[in-house]
Amino acid sequence: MVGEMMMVNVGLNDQVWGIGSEDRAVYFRQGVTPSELSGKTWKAIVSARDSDRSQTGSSTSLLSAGCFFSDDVREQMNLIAQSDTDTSSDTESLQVHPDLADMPLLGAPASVNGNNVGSQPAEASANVAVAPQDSAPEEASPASGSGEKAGAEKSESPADQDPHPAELQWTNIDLKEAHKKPPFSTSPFPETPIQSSLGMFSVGDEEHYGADEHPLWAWVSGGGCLVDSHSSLKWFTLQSGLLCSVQSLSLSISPAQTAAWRKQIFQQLSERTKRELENFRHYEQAIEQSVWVKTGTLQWWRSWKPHKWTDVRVALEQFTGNDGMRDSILFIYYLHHEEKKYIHVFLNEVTILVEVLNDAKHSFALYTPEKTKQRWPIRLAAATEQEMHDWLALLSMSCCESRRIQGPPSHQAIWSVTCKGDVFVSEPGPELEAAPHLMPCDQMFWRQIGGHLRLIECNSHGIVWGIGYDHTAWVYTGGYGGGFIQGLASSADNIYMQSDVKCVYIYENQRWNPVTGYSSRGLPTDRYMWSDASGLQECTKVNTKPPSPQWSWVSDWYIDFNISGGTDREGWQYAADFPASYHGHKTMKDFVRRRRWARKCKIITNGPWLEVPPITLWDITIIPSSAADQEELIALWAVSDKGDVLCRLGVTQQNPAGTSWLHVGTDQPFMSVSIGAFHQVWAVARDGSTFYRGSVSPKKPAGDCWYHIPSPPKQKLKQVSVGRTSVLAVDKNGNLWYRQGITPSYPQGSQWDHVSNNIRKVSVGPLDQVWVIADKVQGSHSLSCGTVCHRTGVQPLEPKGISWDYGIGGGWEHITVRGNATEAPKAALHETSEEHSAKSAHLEDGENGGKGNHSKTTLMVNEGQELDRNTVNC
Amino acid sequence: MTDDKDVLRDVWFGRIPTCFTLYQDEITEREAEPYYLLLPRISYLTLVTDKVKKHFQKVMRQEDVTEIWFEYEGTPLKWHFPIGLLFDLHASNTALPWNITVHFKNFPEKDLLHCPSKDVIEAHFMACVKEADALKHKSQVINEMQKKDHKQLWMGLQNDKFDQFWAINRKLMEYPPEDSGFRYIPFRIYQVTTERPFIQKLFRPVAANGQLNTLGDLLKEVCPSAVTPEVDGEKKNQVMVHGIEPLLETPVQWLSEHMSYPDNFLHISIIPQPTD
Repeated sequence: MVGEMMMVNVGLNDQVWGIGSEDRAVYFRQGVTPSELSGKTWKAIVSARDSDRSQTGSSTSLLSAGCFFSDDVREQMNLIAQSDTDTSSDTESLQVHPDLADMPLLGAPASVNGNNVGSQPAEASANVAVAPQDSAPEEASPASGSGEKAGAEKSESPADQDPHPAELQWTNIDLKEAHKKPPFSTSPFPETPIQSSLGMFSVGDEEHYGADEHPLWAWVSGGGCLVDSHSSLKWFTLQSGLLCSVQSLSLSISPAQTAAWRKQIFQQLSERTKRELENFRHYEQAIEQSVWVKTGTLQWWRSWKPHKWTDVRVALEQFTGNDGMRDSILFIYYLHHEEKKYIHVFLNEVTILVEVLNDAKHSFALYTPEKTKQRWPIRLAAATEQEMHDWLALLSMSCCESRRIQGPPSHQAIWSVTCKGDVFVSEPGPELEAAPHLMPCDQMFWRQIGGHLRLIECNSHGIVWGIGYDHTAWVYTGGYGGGFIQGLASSADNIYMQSDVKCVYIYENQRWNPVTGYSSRGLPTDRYMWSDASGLQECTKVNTKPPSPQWSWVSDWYIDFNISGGTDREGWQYAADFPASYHGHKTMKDFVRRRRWARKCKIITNGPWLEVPPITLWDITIIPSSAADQEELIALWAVSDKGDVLCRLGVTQQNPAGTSWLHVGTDQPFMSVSIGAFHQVWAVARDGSTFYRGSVSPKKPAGDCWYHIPSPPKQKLKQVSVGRTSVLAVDKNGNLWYRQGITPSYPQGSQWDHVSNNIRKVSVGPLDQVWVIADKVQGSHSLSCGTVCHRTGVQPLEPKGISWDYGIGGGWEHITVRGNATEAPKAALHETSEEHSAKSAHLEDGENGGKGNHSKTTLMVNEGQELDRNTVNC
Repeated sequence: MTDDKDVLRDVWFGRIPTCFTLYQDEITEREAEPYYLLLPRISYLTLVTDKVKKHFQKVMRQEDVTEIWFEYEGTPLKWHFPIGLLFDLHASNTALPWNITVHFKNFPEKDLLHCPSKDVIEAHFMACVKEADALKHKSQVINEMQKKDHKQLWMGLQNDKFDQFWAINRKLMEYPPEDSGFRYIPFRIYQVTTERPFIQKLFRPVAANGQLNTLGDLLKEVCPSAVTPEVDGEKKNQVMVHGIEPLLETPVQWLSEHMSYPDNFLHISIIPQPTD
């Protein structure tokens, strides 16, 4: 905030002008839009001074004002310029009367008035000009009436050292003028081009002024100035040097300009143009012009401290190169310490564009391989959701174009889902799994597919299923686009409406005190009484909104008894203090309690998904096959949200949704299931125990019975994934285990080998490739949760791999690579594991990989470091 | 009212209408029509003539197509000179369009450099830019820039994007406020009649007494024969930049800032006064 305003005036289009009370500068409230009527920030309007190196003479008051207006005003300015030059001669500065030379300040009444053509501008300038008499230039002469009056009044008063009375004087005068002027300042002239002029003046006696001093204003009226709320204004910075002549409308008439040599050059250039171009305009151009595709204003999350959202201008440019290839570049123009700067991104380097959940802004993140490594994308925010989607759609289309990606994803595609429920798909190249030189997974390009899901599973024959947050099962129709991606980038006939329902949670927190027992009044240091899970943000029933405008409430707030830790009969759970573990019963040591409230919200979007009723699912798996397999019937297993294990019958490539469910008997509820390339079915029950299903085959799709498999010591598993032969599982503490000892005659294996910690989910593909969602991964700025990682060094002799390669994240929830059966070219198998260790990630644990020793690498773990709230959050 | 910014634009958007004709001895399957094109003065022949190449390749057999080269009235045109310079030097007072002959055979090894790809042009262009900055700023400005800025200069030139080019180039046109100009002015003076390709010498924009040096001062010092008047007082030469003759009183500092080619050099042609 600037401080205090002496006066404020609201003009056309709700734009607000003010005069600061301390510095008496004219301010414009930037960022006033219909959705944000209070605007964002006050910006002082800056004018160049005579003494600046810049070419703009400040004396030509109305002319120099033209420098600072954006292009849409420019053509009207010429009118003003002409009329003024009619009435004025070359003027420099207005001389101060010697009597008043020692008046340190000259407060000038300023009106930012609506302008009128013809002689009126001169009068308007009269309103503005401080015209002390004698050497008053002609420019002020039409104004001489008021000017001289002003001057006269001025000379009457004794030369005052104190600036304030003098200002009062001016104010008086101005008010009188104002009385005369109302018709000009308030009513727009219909035939008058809408424009504004900011009257400036300079005083010849520069010694009395500091370099940064500006005229002191007393009154401003914006009634005639129409500013489009989204236009970018150039009034707030000084231009200088060549910059000025390059960027601004420079209309200076200083002596150097009129030099003969300059005139000669201008003249000859125009003659040349006539000579060389006039008769030949019908000739073809040698170079095709590039095309401005889209410009606009957005906000950018600054990359340096203090981090904040800054207004930027954004431009997307496309070139058609000489070889017909189209290159697109995104430019982001910003100001840094009053200096214009920009960053630019070649769109063919962009790996993903993803919407980011942010309370206040409609924001999205733009990643390149470099930014993926640093976990620090370019974050941009738009004023409205529509604008953000427009940009995302356009940028996505341009990225796909520059990579020649179009049409639906292939059967080999890798699917992933963010914490926000957005679906992304990536086309793997053969180098992705081709040992030894794997393509780094931060170079993978992801494009968005419409829909809102919690997980997706696929196989290499194009069968893809998804499960929503509301446990609805969806089958992929083979389309692409959807969501906000419309038009050419979206397939036409296989996009359908898709909806999902999820819960938003808030917590009611209470602290016990001896007087009233548990109450909503806590300690001063306590968290909000109504808060989010962390307690850091206040979330009340009233102010909690659905995640984005696309969501709408479909239920009211209700007490959620399903919170982990259990609750008592009223839904409360107790703990000794707030950030602690909660339990459902009250003990003597529990001084705080909390209750979780839930509310359902629904999103309606569209995407290439068709619902598969009627059973609601929790997990799903599809048999991964090599490219060669041409099975007619495709095995598909699922776990319902009630924990039943099911088997889908009748799934073929022509009918990916299958025909019916077959119930597979269990004696307890399950939570995860996975089927391998040879029909090995592994499943995890809700109590954390693991089972192997025997004798599953195409003839006997449901197998015969469950074999209990001991879990890793003291661990409860929560998810399992089976590839071609590899079986990997994740436990509830984030450890990743590999099932050792599997042979064709003994498919259950013998023991669990620890591979890594810090894992949330694993996906094993048809080449036994291992991909995970890791929990906390080091970025250059901080930890980010939910990151896609690829296990490197996986070979037949080394199925657990050696180390990790880091891909896109944080904010990722799920990934499946079970469609990628692209056979890698035969790799040199005699690469030693020492070589692998040398190439492994620098964040690896100390243990090395000797030949006989399976290395246990861990992903980064620095529990002490706070999760950066700036990262893409779940 | 024109101003300095307009000069920059006029320089950038200057075009020369050209007629390309295939050399009659080239083997063609059918009659080759001449091809008309507007060439940018500030660019390089091999950068902007893809259309020409495609046009003539259509009437030739694949095996006859080797490296393209251009010639005007018998003189092979050096592709590494900017097009505007070539025109001013060889054809400035002739009738338009400029008639260039296209060759595919008998590449004149002694006169021309080979241009196998656009990368060669880029390398040559960037080398000139760096050399110019070495003269102007002891290479400080160009070295401070990132690789992507260099790339942007090249792409701006290649794709005819004035704003994109000048967004970076303006930094090369600045100088510290305590000086009144560059350290030395990057310039080259070309004359058809001399043996050596061009004259390039160290020349300061500001004289010892603080006065700005003019174009006349520059010529007097490095190429006096160009400006000595004939016995009868008539000028015998034209001093041409970008197709115009600036007055000799023009300050070289201003010329360097506003009328350099994209490679940041002032390419000046000295041509004999037309006789008509």
